Amino acid sequence: MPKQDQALVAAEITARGGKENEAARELQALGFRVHRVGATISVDAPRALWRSVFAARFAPRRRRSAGSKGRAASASPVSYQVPATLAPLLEGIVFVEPPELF
Amino acid sequence: MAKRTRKARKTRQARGAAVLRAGDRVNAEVVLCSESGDSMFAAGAVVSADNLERYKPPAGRGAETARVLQELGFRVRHIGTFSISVEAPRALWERTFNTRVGKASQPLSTTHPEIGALEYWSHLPDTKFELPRTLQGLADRAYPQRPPILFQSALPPRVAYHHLEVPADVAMVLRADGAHRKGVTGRGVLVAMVDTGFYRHPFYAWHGYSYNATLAPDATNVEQDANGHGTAEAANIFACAPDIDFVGVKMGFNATLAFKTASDLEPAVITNSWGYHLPGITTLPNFLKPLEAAVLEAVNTRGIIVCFSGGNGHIAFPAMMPDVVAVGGVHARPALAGNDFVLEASNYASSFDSLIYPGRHVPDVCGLVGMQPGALYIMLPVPPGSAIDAGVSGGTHPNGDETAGNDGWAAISGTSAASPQIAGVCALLKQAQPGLSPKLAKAILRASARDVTIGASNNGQPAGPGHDGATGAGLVHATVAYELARSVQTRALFTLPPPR
Repeated sequence: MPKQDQALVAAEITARGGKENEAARELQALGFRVHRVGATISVDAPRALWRSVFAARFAPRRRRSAGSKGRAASASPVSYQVPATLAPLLEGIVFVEPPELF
Repeated sequence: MAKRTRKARKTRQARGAAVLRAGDRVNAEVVLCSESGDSMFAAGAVVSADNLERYKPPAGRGAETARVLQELGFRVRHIGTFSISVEAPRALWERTFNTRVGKASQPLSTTHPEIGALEYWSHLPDTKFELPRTLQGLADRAYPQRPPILFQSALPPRVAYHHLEVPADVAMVLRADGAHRKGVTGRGVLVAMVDTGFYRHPFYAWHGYSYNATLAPDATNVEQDANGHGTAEAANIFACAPDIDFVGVKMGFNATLAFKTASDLEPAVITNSWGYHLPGITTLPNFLKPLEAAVLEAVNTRGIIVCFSGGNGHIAFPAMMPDVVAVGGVHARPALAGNDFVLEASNYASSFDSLIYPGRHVPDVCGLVGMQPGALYIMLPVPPGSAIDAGVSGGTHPNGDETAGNDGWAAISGTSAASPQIAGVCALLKQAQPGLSPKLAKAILRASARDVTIGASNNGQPAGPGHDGATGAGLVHATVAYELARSVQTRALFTLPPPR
């Protein structure tokens, strides 16, 4: 597997009401690492898994930063699609970006 | 000049860890023969406080042996009770004792081998060693000494420019000493910090602090802090609240997960010296909504006081959330103005009005932050050779901190330092008044702050009399804040005070 595909991408997933555990179980079965189940589900997985399950597309992007370089690399995909099998369980996905240290 | 220094450092790093050469000199300890005839090297001999006298040489033997060694060409460094410290060129050592030594090396620090290694001369195994006739009856044995592994000092290096040290200077300038004198030190209060890692720097052990660390589920190696940020900034909390129980949560990639991990511990206070830069944005990006929810839950459901750094020129989230204590920066000059130091808004720290949360101004209150260009202001403990230690090392202040890049200390600040300072003050308030709500804690911090009237923030907002754009309510006054908090009587809504 190319090195880029192994890079972990983290996300916070909102499950549909009352389906948190079911959603977490399903994601785990698909190979996602589930770290915590609460108001949102914290997960991470290699890019390759996001591609295969959510048809995620990644492209090099930069986000704004007040640091010396002015821009920081973004790890989030530019698009994704919730598969039909997960649609009854998931309400939304947001991808996590690293914070800046102050 | 600074550029040349940086270039040289990069070249050194590219070449790999430096090795300090042994030269031609053997450093050794020559052990004296005892008066009793017993040898501490005899099979089964155990030296203890009870039998130490048994291995003591007679009066005068040390001086006599030193004289012989000197005549042989050795440099005598010290005559001790049991042994003499000497140096000799390798050839002299080998000729005198009819032996051979070989080069060996060891890392300067086993936890940070990347810092470099030190070479030394060592006795080769299975090589003969004979005392010369002139030393027989005087010296029992002689051993080349290997250098110790260096542990970074619990004391900061001395530098000549104006800076603050932890804990004393920060506690004094933030007026925390008065509360400490009254026994209010944060005892019994759990404070959590989410950051890059929490290295076991001797600074924490020597001060006897309760310094603990745990991992966010996606992080590894809890005590490793390659950056140095968490290790450094935690010292600011202890300056204000030395007796807190501290838990650092090392973040992995997902800062939201790390924050939730801290919140799950239900500490009284969580401090965060990080955030996201959101300039010109009127709605919160979706990717930050889980973090927003986690912060709201921590403050409003769990009653945790959550402090966030206001940023260093950043338009910082979550500092801009109305629910948190947003911390800005004030610089205290060494000069006095009346009964306080000359206080000015730090031109390194942020101040702004949020477009996402209308009516919300950052900061609420301020801690201590240096000035541009680099805010090199507070001498803080860092892992030796970490990114911060090496990154600000050398140079001339204010372009470098004038300390070594591997000494485990760095003069830094930013609102990263200010937020944990305020978190420490919050811990004092929670000790005095455990039921204090996050909202009331913030109101007390603001009500007791010292007005800062000069300077301007990184974002250009000026300070002035009263609450102002650059510093909010001003620089925290820990003792007055405690005095306000200790008399608060929390009561249920709509309950009238009892008649007097």
